[in-house]
Amino acid sequence: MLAGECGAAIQLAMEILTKIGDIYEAEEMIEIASAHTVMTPYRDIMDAGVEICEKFAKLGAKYSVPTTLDPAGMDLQRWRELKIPESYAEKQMRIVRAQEKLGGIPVWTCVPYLHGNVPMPGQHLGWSESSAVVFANSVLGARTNRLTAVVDMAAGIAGRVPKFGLHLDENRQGEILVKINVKSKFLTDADYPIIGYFIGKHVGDKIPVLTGIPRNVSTDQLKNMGAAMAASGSVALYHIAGVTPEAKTLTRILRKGVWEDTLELGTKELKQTKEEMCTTGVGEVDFIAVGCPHYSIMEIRKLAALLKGKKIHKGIKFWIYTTKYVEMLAKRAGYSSIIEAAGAQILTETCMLVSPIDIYGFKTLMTDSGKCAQYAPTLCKTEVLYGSIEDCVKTAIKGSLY
Amino acid sequence: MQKTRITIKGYGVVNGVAEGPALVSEQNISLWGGLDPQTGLIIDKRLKIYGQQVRGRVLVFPQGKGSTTGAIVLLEAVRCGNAPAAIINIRTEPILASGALMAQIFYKKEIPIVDRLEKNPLKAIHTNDHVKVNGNKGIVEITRQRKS
Repeated sequence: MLAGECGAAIQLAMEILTKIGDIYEAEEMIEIASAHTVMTPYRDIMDAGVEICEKFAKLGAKYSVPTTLDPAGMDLQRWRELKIPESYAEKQMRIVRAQEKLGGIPVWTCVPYLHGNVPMPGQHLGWSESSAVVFANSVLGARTNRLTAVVDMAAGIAGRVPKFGLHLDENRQGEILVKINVKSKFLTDADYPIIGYFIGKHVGDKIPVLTGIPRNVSTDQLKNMGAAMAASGSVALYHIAGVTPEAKTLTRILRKGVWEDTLELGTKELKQTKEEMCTTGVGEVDFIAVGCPHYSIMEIRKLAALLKGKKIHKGIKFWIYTTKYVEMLAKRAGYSSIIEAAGAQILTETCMLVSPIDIYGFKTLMTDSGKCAQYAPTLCKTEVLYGSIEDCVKTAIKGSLY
Repeated sequence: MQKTRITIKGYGVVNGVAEGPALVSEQNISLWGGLDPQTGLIIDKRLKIYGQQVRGRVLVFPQGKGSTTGAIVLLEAVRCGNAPAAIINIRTEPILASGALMAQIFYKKEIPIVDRLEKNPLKAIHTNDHVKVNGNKGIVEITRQRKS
């Protein structure tokens, strides 16, 4: 493949993968079940990204394994009404066309694992998107390193990745114990991003093992906790004792001699961390943005129940980011009409972190996402407030911080 | 003025030979949200080297961190002519290494990276020392002007 007998595109993909494998002393390449690429939003991948997507397309590259696409840099249908500049949209559409030509699966989402790209435990993957990588490794028990932009495309084209890091058994054991000392019946949806943010900040790129998370934890709670962990730190894998697939028992998953380190998290740390996640404490809120990672249909259902019969203050934009698929379900279930009647809007195939939010000049963004709280000050150029979805809704109605 | 020259051995992570004045950060750097590729300036206000120019310099820092989008920022910096000349880390993580590798592949630009030096590079190298980085041999050569 490297010699070019399979064509120039595969040769180029293999050159990238082989060189990375050489640096990290991989002994071989392994076949992957799927890939996921972040070579999608123009805001992030810029002109270099457009050129590289088009270069692969021009070489006739095709994804040889199912390869899902991360969010685009704008709502692909509503961009005109959202006042996205034509020049920006034109570059974004070049990326869309190139990715379509390669055969990328147009889910345009950071939650591919809720949209058909669902690996089995132990399967090897070539994924980027930090929040999806941590979910695939931790919750699904699949195996992927944190690939970066372009390398993720190479993995999808070649259908393989160099075998090092998290592909190997010996690198998947826990390195630090994190005890959650909060009674599980008191843990709410809004606590999970805070727990994730706290852990990421303290463990960096180590593999934490959590205790104190109940067995009935939801997929959405883990999605939102992991995303925060991978944003405040570089966590690619965590375990929850007795819950996640590779952590049947605590003793089996903690690496011997490494785990003297223990981190404790109680109600005091939860409160402190929540304050750290906010850059401001008071004042007017003009933008409420939820759906980072993309909202699931369950989260939309909960939000619709909170917004039923309510009216959002006229000075506030309330945007919910999700996928085309979830939008369709929300319409069928009647959630969309409730949400729209309240004055909020569902936007699709993009999010607040990868679209040019700074063009609107918002001052203060409120979110229920730990990942968004981490990145909004630099990427959206706003002050940020973190709160539960219940508090986001109350704030939206009141017009200032609830 | 007197010149002192020292050579330190390490590991060549990404091939190539380049030199320039050093820019040293004791803090980890995320290229995404950390470097503006269109100007070459460090834009993360939490970094002590905030506002510094990286173009043509030898960037010295412990380790890369942050988003998986990182590598493309380095490629865009290369495309705009604002890339650092070379990089020295304590340990290079795959996202940064991938960025430098792909700069060679897509833009024919060598950004050698050397890590695991025998001496701590954050102490051995001062900002504005002239540093030559040989990624092929894993060697770093530091030249410092010294008042006699």
